[in-house]
Amino acid sequence: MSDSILELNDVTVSFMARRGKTKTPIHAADHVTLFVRRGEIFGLVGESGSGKSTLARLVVGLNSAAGGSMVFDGEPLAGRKRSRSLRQRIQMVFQDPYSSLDPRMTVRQQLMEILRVHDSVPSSERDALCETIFRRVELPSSLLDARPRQMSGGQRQRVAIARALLLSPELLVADEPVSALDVSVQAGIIKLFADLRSRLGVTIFFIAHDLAVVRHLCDRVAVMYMGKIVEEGTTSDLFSNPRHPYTRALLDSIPRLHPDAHELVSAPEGEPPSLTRLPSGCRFRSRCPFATEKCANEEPELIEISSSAPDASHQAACHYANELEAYVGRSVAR
Amino acid sequence: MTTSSTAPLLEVENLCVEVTVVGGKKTEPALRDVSFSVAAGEAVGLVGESGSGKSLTLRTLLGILPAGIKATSGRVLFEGVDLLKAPKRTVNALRGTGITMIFQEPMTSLNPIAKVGEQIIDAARAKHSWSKADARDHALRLAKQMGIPDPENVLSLYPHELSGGLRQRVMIAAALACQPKLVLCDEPTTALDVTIQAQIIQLLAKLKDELGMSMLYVTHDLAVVAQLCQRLEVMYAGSIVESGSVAEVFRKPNHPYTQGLVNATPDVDDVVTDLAGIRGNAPTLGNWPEGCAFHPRCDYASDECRSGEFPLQDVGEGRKSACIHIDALHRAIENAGVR
Repeated sequence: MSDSILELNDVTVSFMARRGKTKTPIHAADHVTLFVRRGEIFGLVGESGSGKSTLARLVVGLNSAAGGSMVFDGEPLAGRKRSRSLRQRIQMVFQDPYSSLDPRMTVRQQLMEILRVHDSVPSSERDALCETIFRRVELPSSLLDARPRQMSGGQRQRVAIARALLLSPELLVADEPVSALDVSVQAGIIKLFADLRSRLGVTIFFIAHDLAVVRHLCDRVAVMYMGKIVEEGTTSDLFSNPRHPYTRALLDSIPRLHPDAHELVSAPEGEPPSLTRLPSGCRFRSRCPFATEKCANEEPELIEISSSAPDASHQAACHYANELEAYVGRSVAR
Repeated sequence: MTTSSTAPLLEVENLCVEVTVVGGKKTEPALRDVSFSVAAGEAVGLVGESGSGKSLTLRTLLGILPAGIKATSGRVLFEGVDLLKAPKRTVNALRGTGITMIFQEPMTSLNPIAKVGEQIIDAARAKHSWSKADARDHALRLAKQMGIPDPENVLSLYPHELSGGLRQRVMIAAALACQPKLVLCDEPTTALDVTIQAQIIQLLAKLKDELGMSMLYVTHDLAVVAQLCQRLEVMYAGSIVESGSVAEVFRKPNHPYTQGLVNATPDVDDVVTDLAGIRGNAPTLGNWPEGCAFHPRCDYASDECRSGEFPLQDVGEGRKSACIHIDALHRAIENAGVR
């Protein structure tokens, strides 16, 4: 992909799971291939344990890969060992602004520390830069001398975003940045991300479990399940024409604000399997209403959806991705 | 049995709760003049953001307020008995059989060192003079009713061996072990993944229909209320600011705060409407603004809103609102449209 800023090629991230005396490797991310275009907001959605945070941490250099390779801006990207200048170009916003800020330092001290360590901005300009960044995240500069505990959750998350923007990164990795916030505050942070992309041109790798948030914010989306990407496409393709049964199950599970009379959410059967005891073949087959014998024998690869436009790739990892009936949204009568 | 066919099962009247501020003799109001009711068989949603007082309301009803927090005035009538004044014995007897609670975090509310089956059996035997074998049969029946797969096996496991969804099913089984009439739900699906949340919503809807139990459902998620409840009460800064039927309130809110919440909730089917947050932040305990507590964040606030009291008023069609600018709000909704 010529316009991609980040590529993951067949990446696997493994951890050792200890059970008694035996150690077995589990693959939190299992042969993942994806790319992020420069200037886009790319959404990665999935439930807990799907591996989305593992990938986020891999991209910023907090995990290392057991297999596969990454490319950032045309150059190979190592898992952990990175030059300072490279780290400066990829920054992260964490989920919980309470634990990711230092409680004993003022915001200004925390920002200054980063500028001192990276030393790419002359010290005479650092104060002005802090104020510019604060304006950019719509915080009053009076809060620069406040400590995190004196701020609300929304303000703290804006500080976390300001900190990530301080070094003018090209790629911002945001791991569930709105999940811990109240809904009235969440909307403002979502708009801020959209705004930052359009004004600064920063690429955003946005991790979320909330599909509604992703639909409002992202240009392209990948859905993960148990370490695998099961579907990937433009936001409009993926939401209007989901081709993987898991994507459909996720959409059907979301409670709607204005349900039709007597409409209840529909839920897929069962629970996600353990990563140490994955079913053979397709990982979703134990919960899938369409599963056949083929699904137990053959692990599906991502295949191109036949109806997708030539310039907008839409893929799903289901043997029946091109055969499933059109998606209408499901609800069960009460 | 209810004392008369028309009296609601639960009636909360002018409830006020105060918190003693740490390190001082000062108290701060945490609930202010809260009144609402739940009829037999009815499901009522109590919604609001963090710190609004919704969980505190549930804890007051069950008489499990933490130290330093107490109800100072008002009444909590359950089947006509005032739980705030009733002797401890009476309240204890009602827990489990009359009122019960399902908590958000099953991991912290289940005993980590007891098998989950034992915990359901204990809950059942606390109020029934059942033999252990009878209670075990009852637990097994409950587990099946809760949709727990392979119940014999699951009941012999410890909480840490179960998934979040199964733990929540176990907690619901324990809560329902003594056939309560009113179930208080404190965000029981918030910690769950969306597919598991959908399963628990289905389970609660089924149980409500099958058992005819009443529910008071606390959540910050308006859409979950739309799934399970007929009526809702909207809380802000320790007060109820709006109440009415769920469909009506979401279609045409009677309070700017409710409208703000509806507009801030991202809709997965609607990509056209822009999300709009509410400006500013929810006030924290002890920092509640004078007058209408919402006025610093409100687009409709006038000088009148900055002082005085704004009690919940009847506004017709079974709805109540604490806002004095409903007409202006409705004009704005008609012009802009609410989702």
